[in-house]
Amino acid sequence: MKLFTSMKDKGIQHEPSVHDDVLWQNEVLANRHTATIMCCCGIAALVAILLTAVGIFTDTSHVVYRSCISALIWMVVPSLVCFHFKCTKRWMKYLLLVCLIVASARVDCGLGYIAMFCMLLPVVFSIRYYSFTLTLGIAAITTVVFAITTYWGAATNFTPVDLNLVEEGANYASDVMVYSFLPKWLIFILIAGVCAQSAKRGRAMVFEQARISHEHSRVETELQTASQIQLHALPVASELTDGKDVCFDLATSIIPAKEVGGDFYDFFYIDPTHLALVIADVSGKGVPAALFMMISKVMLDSSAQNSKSPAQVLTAVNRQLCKKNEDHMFVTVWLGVLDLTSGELISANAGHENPIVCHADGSVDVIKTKHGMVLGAISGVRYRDDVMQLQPGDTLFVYTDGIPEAHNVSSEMYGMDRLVAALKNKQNMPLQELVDSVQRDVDAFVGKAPQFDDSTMLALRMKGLLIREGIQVHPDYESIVQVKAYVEQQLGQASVPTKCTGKIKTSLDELYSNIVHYSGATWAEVVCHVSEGAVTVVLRDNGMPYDPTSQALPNTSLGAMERRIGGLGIFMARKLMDEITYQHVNGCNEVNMFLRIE
Amino acid sequence: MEILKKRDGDTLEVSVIGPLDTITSPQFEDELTLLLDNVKHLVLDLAQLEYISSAGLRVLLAAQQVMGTQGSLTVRHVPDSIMEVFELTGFIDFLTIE
Repeated sequence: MKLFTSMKDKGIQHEPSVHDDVLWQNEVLANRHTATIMCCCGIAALVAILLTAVGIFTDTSHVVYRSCISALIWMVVPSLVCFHFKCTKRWMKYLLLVCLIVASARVDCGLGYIAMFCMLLPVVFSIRYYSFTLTLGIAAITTVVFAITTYWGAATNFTPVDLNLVEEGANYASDVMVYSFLPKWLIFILIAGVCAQSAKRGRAMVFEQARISHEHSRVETELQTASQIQLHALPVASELTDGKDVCFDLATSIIPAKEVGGDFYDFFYIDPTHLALVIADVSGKGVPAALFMMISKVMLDSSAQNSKSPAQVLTAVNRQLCKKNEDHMFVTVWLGVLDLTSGELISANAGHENPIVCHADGSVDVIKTKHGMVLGAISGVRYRDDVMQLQPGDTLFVYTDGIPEAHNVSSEMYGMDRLVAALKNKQNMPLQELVDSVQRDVDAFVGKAPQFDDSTMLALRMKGLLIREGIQVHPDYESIVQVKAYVEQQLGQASVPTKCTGKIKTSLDELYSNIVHYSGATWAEVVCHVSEGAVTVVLRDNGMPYDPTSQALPNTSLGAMERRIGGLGIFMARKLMDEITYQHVNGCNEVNMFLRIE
Repeated sequence: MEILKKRDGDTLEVSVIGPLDTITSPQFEDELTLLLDNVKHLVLDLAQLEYISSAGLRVLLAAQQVMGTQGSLTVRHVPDSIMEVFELTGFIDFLTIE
């Protein structure tokens, strides 16, 4: 909510300044434009002087000289001033336009009816500034200046005499004003009105253009942010594999066709021995697909945390996605759960592309299983778990349809055959390189054809099997018996004396039942070691962080009637063991119990 | 866990065999509650108690609170390892131990 308010505020504050900016940019351009043309007029005047000098123009030469030299001064000087200040002064437009009026007036009264269009010049130039008032103002000044110069020109015979207006004994100057200037001015004022309207319309268009480009850049920025958010929602392979002793390698690639896309991949631990792998493709592209993608991803993630059956997860997510799906979006998903200790991969497929397994000997198999319905289409559909076995050295390769369905300019598809060929005999290629090489192969095939669909890949290579000691359980009430039996067996095998076993079993009962009852963990692991005259028991769980060693000690001096039992168990464990340590590693609680054997 | 019962008038003697922990204590509590009607003297024989955790202590505390108003509770034949727990939890202060 706050984000929206602040963005709205920003918009309101920005609007006038955006307009000012646009007008100012235009004004600078208009200055340059006007100054350039005035300069060109000056050069034209210079040409006229030269032509007169060599005798081609036969008009009275001193009139030409005077008119043209004054035009040079009134046109070229202000232009040079303007260029000197790089056209970026607020007063420049007034200087340019007023000088233009003076120059036009000078030409007008020098040449008379020959130069009757001179009067329009300043008004026409002023349109470029997109200001109704400026154009009208210039028209008014032009009127005054021209009225004065026409009258003065006629009265002093400076302006060549219009023989049509000369009558014996009449007042020539006032006749010029009435019969020549007045009709000319009426036409002028009509044209000036049209010019002012054009300026006004130009201004509106500039604002509209500015608004559109501002809006466009805002949408662009927002899309970029959305794209970042979407990208950051995807996990990074190196976070799972880099610098860690893991039995697999992971590599990914995602190239959206637009800023945001509907493809995604995901991988996460369900517990330390099971890795969930997801690849999915939402119908459509762009923003709608991206929104649906985020919803699907979160739902798959949270459902998969609670189940090792991909079919169950897909059934549950499908039901949820169908609930409020008025826009008939859907998503194809392949979901796999890999048991890292055995290489067993259970997967379910909701209308997604077949996974590919690249074997350690370089051969490639497309795993064809029965597909279920896409998610989000029909509620109540059931999915099927398929089981396959990954051997050490095998690479699982999953992808979206953007890969096999990539088209080249002659509308041929990349196809499964090319994909299989690209994956063949690559068992020794580093995994990320393999994924990148497939993308390069697709790119080379597509050539200059535009990318129509997102293209996404996820690859996992089994380097070996995960070896785990101890016992891994779902920490429910029944698991207490399993854990107890495991520890008893370990202690029995090592012939730990009864005096010690009692202490260990008591402490284990306290700490483990605490995990079962309060941690909210979905996974727990207990490892018991007996060596060099000491017993170590490690308890790990993925529940809420809880440090038993930092709890306050209970009051053990109260009588039977005032007693409460809370906190006593942890206290006992701390007292019975020689040492208890706690740490929070990789999102897991880890408690180490240590007891020397006497 | 197993319990052996011996009733003699208003005296009840109960022997606990095995551990008293999170799993066994609720069962022990249920059985004991059924036996306590009209009992003045409760004797708990812990000679074969393997270990006791706070869940077991909770039952002992409840028994002590009931018997404290109804008669008496005596604990006998406490192994060293169990005695150590009674000591560090302060139970030794209110239990009658023979």
